[in-house]
Amino acid sequence: MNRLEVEFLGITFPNPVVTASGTFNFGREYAHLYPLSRLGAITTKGVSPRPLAGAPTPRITETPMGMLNAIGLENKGVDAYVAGELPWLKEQGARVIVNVFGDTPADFALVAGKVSPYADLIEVNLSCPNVHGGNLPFAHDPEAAAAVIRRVKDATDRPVLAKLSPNGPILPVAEALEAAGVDGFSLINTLLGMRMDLERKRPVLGNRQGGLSGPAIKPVAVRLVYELYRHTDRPILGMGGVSSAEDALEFALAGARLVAVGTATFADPYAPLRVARELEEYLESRNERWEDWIGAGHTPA
Amino acid sequence: MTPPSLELAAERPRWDDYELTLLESEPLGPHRRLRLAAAGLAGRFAPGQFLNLSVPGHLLRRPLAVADQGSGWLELFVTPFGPGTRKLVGLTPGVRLRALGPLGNGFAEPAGDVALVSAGAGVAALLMLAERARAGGGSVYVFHGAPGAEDAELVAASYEARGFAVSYYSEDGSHGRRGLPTEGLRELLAAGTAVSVYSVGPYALMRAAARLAIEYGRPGYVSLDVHMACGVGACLSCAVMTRQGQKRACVDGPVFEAREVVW
Repeated sequence: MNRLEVEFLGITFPNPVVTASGTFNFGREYAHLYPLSRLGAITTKGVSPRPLAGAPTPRITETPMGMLNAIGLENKGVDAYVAGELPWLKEQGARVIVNVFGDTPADFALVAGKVSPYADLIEVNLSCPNVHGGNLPFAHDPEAAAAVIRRVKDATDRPVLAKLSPNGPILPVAEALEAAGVDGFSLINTLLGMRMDLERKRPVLGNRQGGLSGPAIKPVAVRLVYELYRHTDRPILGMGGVSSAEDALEFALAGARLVAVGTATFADPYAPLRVARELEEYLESRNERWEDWIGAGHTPA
Repeated sequence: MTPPSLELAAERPRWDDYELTLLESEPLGPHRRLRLAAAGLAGRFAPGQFLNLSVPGHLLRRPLAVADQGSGWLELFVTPFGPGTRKLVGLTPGVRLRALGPLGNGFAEPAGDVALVSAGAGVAALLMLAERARAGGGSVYVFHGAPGAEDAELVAASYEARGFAVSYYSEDGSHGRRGLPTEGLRELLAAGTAVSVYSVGPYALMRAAARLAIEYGRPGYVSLDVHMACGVGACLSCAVMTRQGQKRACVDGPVFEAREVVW
């Protein structure tokens, strides 16, 4: 019996542990360490219609129990990935979640359509700026976010996850996205933050502000997964500071069916695989299944 | 002369995660020389390659050039700068750490005479290169910037202890000649000495050394120090703009040809 097997939007995952977007690129850097098919899925780096050079350096800095990043969504553009990394990733036998973004709803739809042949799921990054909406992130505006999801749903036959931002109003956005036909949710994206350089007397990051990730944000993430679970019947991919089986199980109790390991991979490239193994041992020792834990934290004592 | 291709180094061995044990931590002025037991990893670094070292109590690893290596051991130079490196220099022997390595594209095999231009603990990245150049019969000119004798202890204990003559430079003349180490390089190049130029240190120093190499038509190489998280090419933190487009310092570098970098 595979205690970790889990159904998610009609797809059977051998275990619930996936990589988080932007922390694993397209998997090639890690493929010599272990077969990528051993993970629940690989979530790719965000893909846009056109290449993006990204933000000025420094792009990362460490913070207490976390890190700030402002990579600036650097990527080679969808055509390069459809020609190279995505077919390669499918050949590895991995399940693939392709993270997509753009400047406009049409941009998102264009990318989603092109990557669909290689995607088991599409994850829509709603935290990027809406260029026709005063550069406010889509995730801060329920109507703008819903417009993106409607266009993406029309462009792909794959299930569509909306990645929600803790910097915006999560529940109103989720409600609007459900009405727009979203299939599931992933959360949380990073929390906006800043660190100052005392020598230079200015922000450390080239982009000034960045996204906080790592163990520091885990309680925020668990709480937001818990809140969203109470308000939706769509499945949830939870993430934010997961680096152990215990962390993953907290997310399951809050309502996550899948969990992503992100920043922990920078400290330990084996982290996603290790979390899956630890989960297996944990559940084996208790004769339980992952599915037993999903949302179990909501049951009254 | 066409600079030797860096593509050869692409056949580097695959990196993995290794356990290291701190054997010695030797203060040398404001810097430290760490000697670590590193079975399976030591001996596999090409000059200029680096490892990504765990720091107890810190989330991210720290990229550090390997200064020297032997059977089962390797040496790193560390300067306490932020909380992570301060923690590293305070560790006591016996502590176990983890390191990803060997990482990055190092220096191509040196051919002929070499000039090294450095400041600070980054000089670690050039030590094995100096040994290779000398073993190949080349002369090794070392121009090092240090604000005082104390700061230079690290170089005395590594380069001078191995018999390399070092020309020191300080801005106020308190150690060695007054000025920047690139002034020594300029004199050498102006005298017509056919050296390949290698530089590691602050960005402005590397840029100045690179420009001199270009000006005098000599091969030039720098090892760029850019904030990185994963160290293996996945996170895209360590972007470097080159004439062939944006590259990653961790896997496409840290060694770049002077002409390749958009300074």
